[in-house]
Amino acid sequence: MARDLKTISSRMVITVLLIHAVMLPLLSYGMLAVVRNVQEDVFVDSVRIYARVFADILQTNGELPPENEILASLDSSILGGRCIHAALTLGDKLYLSSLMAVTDAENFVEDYEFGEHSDNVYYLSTPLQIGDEVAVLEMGFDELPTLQEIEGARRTIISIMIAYLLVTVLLVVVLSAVLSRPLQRLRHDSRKIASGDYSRQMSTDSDIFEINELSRDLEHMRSTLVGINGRLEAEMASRETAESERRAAETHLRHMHRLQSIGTLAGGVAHEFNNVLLPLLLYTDLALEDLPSDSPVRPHIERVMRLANRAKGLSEQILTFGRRSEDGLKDVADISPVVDEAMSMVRALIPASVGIQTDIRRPVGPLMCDSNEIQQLIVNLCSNAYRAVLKVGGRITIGVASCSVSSEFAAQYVRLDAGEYIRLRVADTGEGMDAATVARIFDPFFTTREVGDGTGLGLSVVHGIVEKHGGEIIVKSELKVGTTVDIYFPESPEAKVIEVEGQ
Amino acid sequence: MRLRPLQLLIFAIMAMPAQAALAETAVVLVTGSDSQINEMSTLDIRKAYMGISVTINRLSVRAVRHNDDDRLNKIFLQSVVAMSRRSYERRLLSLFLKFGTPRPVEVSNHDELTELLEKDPRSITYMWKSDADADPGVRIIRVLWQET
Repeated sequence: MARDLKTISSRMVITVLLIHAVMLPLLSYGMLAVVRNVQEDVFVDSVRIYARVFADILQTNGELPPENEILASLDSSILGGRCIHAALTLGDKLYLSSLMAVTDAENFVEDYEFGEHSDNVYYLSTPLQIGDEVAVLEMGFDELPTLQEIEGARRTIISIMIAYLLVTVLLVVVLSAVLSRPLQRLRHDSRKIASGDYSRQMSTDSDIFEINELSRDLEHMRSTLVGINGRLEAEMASRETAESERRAAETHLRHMHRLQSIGTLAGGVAHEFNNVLLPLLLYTDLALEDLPSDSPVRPHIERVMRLANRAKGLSEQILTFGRRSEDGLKDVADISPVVDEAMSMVRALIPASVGIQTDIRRPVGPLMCDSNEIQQLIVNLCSNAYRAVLKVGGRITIGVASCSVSSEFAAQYVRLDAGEYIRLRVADTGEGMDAATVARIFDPFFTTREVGDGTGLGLSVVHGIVEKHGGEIIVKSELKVGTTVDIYFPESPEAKVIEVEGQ
Repeated sequence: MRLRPLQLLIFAIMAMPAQAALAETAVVLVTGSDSQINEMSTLDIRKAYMGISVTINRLSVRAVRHNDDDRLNKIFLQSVVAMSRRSYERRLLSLFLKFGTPRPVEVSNHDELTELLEKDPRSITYMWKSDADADPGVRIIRVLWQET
């Protein structure tokens, strides 16, 4: 109820009613007063002048006419108009009209205002100078017709005022509806926008200037807010992306640090182990030279020699992971022949039942690298891929291509910068790995194979080789879908120069 | 309520002096005692009080009103100019605007009125007959109204 009273329509109607409740009675009272005054003045003027003229007619030449003429004149005055009382007094003589409606001459009390004495008769007396005597003409006029006219005017005025009030209220209701409808539409649109429907345009078809201006301003505000909202959403999305990239980079960095720490530790152990192995190999070799060929201990010494060599190989692999290898980058070459050679080795190692597909997109950019290590890298990755497809079947794809790394992509990885790279990809459609396994695949001696079916150093060696070449490894794997290992090697500008000079 | 004969008699005896006094009440037109104005018709009186020029015995009549007696003014309006108060005021204003007709002179007390009549023999005014009889400086021209 209180809410309904606060609407534009209610306010306007109440305001108009209040104003008219005050103004209409005042206006009616004023109009009625004017009408009453005019009617009363007309009545008083007419009866006074009538009496005056009638008296002057009776008083012609300062004498009164005969009695019968006086009575006839008094009768004619009553017949001629509103006069209802006519009498003439001269000394002791009283002449009365026989047509008088008011016959009680004793009731004659002179009036000076309309409606005085509330007897509905306006009495007045007019003296006539007859010689030395003074005759008095008494006349009474009926006030009722004038009172009825005033009452009729009052009713007419009140009727007009009521009709005016009704028409005004009707117009106000219509006008308030015209005013409030576009405002209600704007309110409806505003609520829609507030609930998230930013695409809703705020517009009205009102002819009212102020409402149109309001609508235009609100629409401008909406479009501005939509723009700000869009920018905020884009910025939030950008920040979320940056945050996720930062988290990924942190994770990768931690992983790299962990591998680096492991590599340092393993490299140190391998180095010390090498220091032990080298004299062992040397003295074992000397012992074998001194032993006769038919010595019964010779097979034992040879076994020691083989095991020592195997240990040396392991030590070298660990050194490779820990970048403790002292071999430098030897070749500056096109990597595709290296890949071709590595693939011939891979095909020799992997059964023909496993499909191997190569995708070398020549020309591949020059790369300063160690060809043997690159071949070892490919063989190790293909060996793992083979193991992955061995149980569930599938195929292996090896690809090499030059590519450009964008800054957005590079931001996710520690060793990548925007620029030109050579991407080596080894992908399989094997059993895939879960995230926990992927997180540990480069750890030395980590393996998912049976005990004795691998050293767990293959991918550690791969990691070491890639780091040595300043590259980055990106592993994507999904269980029952497969694994893709992308290795990005930075193109070598120096190699290009050398190649150009070589040509 | 029915009145007994004795009560009626007492009422009649008490009312008699008042009726006698009322019977003598009259309003008369007067001028100065030395004025040459002896007679005026009701039409001339009306003209004079409307501000219209009226000449009697080569004297241009000067109508004077006095407004200190409300009943006297009511009788003046009813019996002399035969108009309501508003109509009389409107008529005076209309004549003044149309023809420059001057309004009748107005005074506010009896002494001032008497002095004016004595100084200006052209002046006429109205007053209670009892006042006129008591004032030797004024002379009655005619009766304007008489209470019945």
